[in-house]
Amino acid sequence: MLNSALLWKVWLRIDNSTDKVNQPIAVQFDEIDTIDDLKSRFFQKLSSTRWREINDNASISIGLYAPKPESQDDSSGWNNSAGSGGSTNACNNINAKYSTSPPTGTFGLLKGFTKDRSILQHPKPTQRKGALYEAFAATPTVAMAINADFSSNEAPSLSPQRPYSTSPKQFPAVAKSPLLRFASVSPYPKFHPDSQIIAPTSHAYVSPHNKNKYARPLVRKSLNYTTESVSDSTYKIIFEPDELAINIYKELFGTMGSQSASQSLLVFSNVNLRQDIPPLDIINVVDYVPTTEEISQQAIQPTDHRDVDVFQLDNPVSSGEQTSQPAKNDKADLKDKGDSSNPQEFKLITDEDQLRRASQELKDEEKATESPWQAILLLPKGYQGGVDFQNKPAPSTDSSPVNEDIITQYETGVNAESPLQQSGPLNDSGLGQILETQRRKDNTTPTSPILTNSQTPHYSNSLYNAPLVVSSPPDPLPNLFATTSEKVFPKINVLIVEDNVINQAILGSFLRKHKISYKLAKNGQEAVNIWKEGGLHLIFMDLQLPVLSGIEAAKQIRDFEKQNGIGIQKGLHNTHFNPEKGSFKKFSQAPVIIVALTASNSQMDKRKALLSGCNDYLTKPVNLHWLSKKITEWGCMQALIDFDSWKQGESRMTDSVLVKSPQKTVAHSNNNSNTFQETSPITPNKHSPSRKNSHVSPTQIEM
Amino acid sequence: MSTIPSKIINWTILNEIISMDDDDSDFSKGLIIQFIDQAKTTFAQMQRQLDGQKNLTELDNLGHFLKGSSAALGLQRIAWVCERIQNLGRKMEHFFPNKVELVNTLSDKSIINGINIDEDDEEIMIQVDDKDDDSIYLISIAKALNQSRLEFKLARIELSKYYNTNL
Repeated sequence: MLNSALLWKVWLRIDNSTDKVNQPIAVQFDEIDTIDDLKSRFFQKLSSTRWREINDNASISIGLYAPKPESQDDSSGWNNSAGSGGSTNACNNINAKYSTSPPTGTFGLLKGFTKDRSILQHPKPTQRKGALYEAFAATPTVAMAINADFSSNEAPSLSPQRPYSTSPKQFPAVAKSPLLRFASVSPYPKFHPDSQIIAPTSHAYVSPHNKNKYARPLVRKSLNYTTESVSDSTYKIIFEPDELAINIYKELFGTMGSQSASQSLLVFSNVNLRQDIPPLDIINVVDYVPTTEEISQQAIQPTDHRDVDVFQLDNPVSSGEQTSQPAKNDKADLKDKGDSSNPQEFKLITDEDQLRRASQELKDEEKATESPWQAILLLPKGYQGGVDFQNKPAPSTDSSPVNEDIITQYETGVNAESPLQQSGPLNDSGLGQILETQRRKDNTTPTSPILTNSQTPHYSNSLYNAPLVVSSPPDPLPNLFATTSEKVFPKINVLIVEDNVINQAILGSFLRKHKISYKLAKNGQEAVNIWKEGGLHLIFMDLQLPVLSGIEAAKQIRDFEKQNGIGIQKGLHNTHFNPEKGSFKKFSQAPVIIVALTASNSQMDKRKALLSGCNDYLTKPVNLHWLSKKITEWGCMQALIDFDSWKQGESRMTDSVLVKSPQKTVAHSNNNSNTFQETSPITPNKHSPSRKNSHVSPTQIEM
Repeated sequence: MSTIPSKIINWTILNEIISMDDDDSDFSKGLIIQFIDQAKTTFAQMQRQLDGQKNLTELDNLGHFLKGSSAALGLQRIAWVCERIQNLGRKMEHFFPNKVELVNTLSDKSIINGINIDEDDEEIMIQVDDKDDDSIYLISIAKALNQSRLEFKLARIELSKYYNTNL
């Protein structure tokens, strides 16, 4: 009956994603796959996206939205349309409603939709009741025979093939079924004009005349799921992780292949903090701007999604207002509120231009005044959480029409010193890590990542965004900050090993442009020597080099690392590049990342490179866009491996100098064969002289 | 052996370099001038090897060296020929195509109007010794070197047009 296992796939879509492009993604599965497996596959599909980085199996769930029970008022609509004639009318009504919606457009439904909801009710059969309805209504988590619920909209007389059809309407408890009237709050925008597909999980149950098309075998297995109240009229159904995907599919869509992309199941994420906003279909996201009230609600209850009723669906007028409220009013409201109730001020910045102006103003202001410090808080694109400064409302921005990086500019009292206090109930998923939010007067040595001239296009506009978002505090060296989006590259020290001066010049110029510190080596031996001095994070290694090939150099470096336990043992003393003094110190704990530069057509080179210990390769000629992407990636990798030193290199340097300096004899004689200042002469296979002035921990083995 | 690119310059690559002119207005032009010097020097070194030591490994390295910079600048036909020299030096390839054949692959043949494609050729002076396995590689490399001089000339014409100076 289900033969071609290879073709089994289910459409999934991220719920409430604010990306303009949020397409359903097909995930393959087979007979033994559970919801948990689907999650894993989904992650695979989205690997290397930011969404993937901030979510894991435990933070997401798969499910769908379903309407809550009706109040008694609504049931009149059902009665009117009961029976086969009534059902046809009901469907026609639906068609009329839906056909006025744009066929593929926004998620917004017409205002009238909620008002006239009762019309959308499907004929309620009158014969039987769902066996487990009462139980289901009573407890939030039950194993339930979904088919009974789903089929409840169908009169048995109309669908003789489905003897399990039930009649929920007869019983008050029935009204609490979350699966009733799915179509009325369907989050799916594409409605087929002839109502064949009204909603992903309801079509089979809604349209009696469609029954043949969607007829499916009766499945007697029950599904395990939990429900969660989203609003007065909507439930979220979340399937248990151990539920078999095949069962769910068969229950919801029937035979394999019946599900269309527009009927995707939703992937909920608890990292996504805006679950208190109802499903996207109810609000036109393009126009939607959160009101102050919503914002404050969010700020106050940022993590409590249960039973937060922001939108009363029974009150179509208010939701309509919210939908149409223009952004300007909103900001004005916000500001008024801020002025009247507290000294804080928030300003939303949604494009780069505004940001530049704001940062300029900030700079100017700073020179002149003793006024409260201002800072710009960079939030990643599509930031979902509220930012609560001392429990005051903060703008939340994910539905903003401009889908850019969002910046919140705020003003705080001088006495508010702690950045941690400032960030309040910031989403703890790391979505927007605020490394520094508050300028301190004595902050003279920013340890933030390398400054760059401009954001790379990859950084700001793609899912590729690294999770590390660094706010830019007003800085004592303000001239270095032309824009606040500068500090996107991690602070890493790069070594370019390349014998051709032209290629050196190209790579070097590129790194300079991005304010990444680098050194040059023109053969493998120089590369090894420079590496021994320590402080390097990343090596770009050409392979065919004079004196010592890149392959050999990589091998030697890996051998030395092994001997010294780099990347293996803890307790190796970390030392770091000190940007202030321009000196490289000894090894960091993390192994260096070596990236081979290979000819594009040489598979053998690539193999050899990886075998010799390179982590990755780039094909020559190096695509510079690719390179900037990779630098971000590798740099962040280093930061993750060795976050402490990456972040605190500065202070540790100072510490170690203070504590250990008596033992050291600093030998910095300049080697004229080298291109940088701090090269100590090194004789191959002997200790680097600079090694002597490092603080060698007892566990460290001499090379 | 791959086929030689039909366009002299891969502008996608060169434009990336040119885009860095924002910071330093003559950056790309400086690189091109540097490359012209480098190519001349390398050609001369290759010629010396062919006339003197006939060391295939050295020729491989020289070919690789010039391949790197020409490819980085998008001068893809030169890079292709250099790769041939590199592979011939490694004895991974065993012949080099004829000049006419290669010239015919040019997408814009008008560029060769009015130039003597044989002008820069150096004579191939390889003693043919049946017992010397290297002979066929050396002869092919000599052919390739002449080809690379021609490609170099064509690239200079193209680049001179772009930068509006005589490079």
